[in-house]
Amino acid sequence: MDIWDYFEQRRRKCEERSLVPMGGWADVFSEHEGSAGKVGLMLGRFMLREGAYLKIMERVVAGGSGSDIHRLTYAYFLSVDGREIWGRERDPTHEPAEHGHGRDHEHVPVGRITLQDAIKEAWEALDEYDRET
Amino acid sequence: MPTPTSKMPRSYYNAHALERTLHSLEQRFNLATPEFYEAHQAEGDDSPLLREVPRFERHVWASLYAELRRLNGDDFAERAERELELA
Repeated sequence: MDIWDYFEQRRRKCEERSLVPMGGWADVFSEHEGSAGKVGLMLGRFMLREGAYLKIMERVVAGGSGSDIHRLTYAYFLSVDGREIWGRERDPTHEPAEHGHGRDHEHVPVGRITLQDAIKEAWEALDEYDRET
Repeated sequence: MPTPTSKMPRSYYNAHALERTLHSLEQRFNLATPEFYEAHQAEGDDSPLLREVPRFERHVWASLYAELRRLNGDDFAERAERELELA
């Protein structure tokens, strides 16, 4: 698998969960020039409703065997009316690398998360926010 | 059986594109990238320097800077300098 096969899977997972990028899909995925499909970035903003966006970034690299794609870093953040109310990220410069952020930006001790679960949790966080406000 | 290849339109980035994006972030938040990165690494979420930078933008900024350093071979240069006791 190269990163474009991975990106195609990403697109399908987003579409299955009603995520459409604010720009076109071609704006969301990029390959590092000259990496022969081994290194790339996913960077996009997806509208969940008016004023609510899920922002996604992944920095990915194909494994040595060519069959695995690793997320070196990732960030999934839900922004509502200009405020980040939920987030999950992997940032190896921090300890622990995998962590989350709550409504008041507090750290949330959570482990690694898949894109599918991040989308599901973001929708749930938005539902909860809308019920309370 | 060959692995199916995606037909998605493809776009590419290089070091210049990363530098341009970093420059845009620097202008938006009035902060030089090395200063940002140092604060991000050292103090993380508590740094007063980063108060105006949303978490997602911090993540993108740090990730793109790391990617640029990798492309430029800065990590290698720093390791080599340490090993050769040049730094």
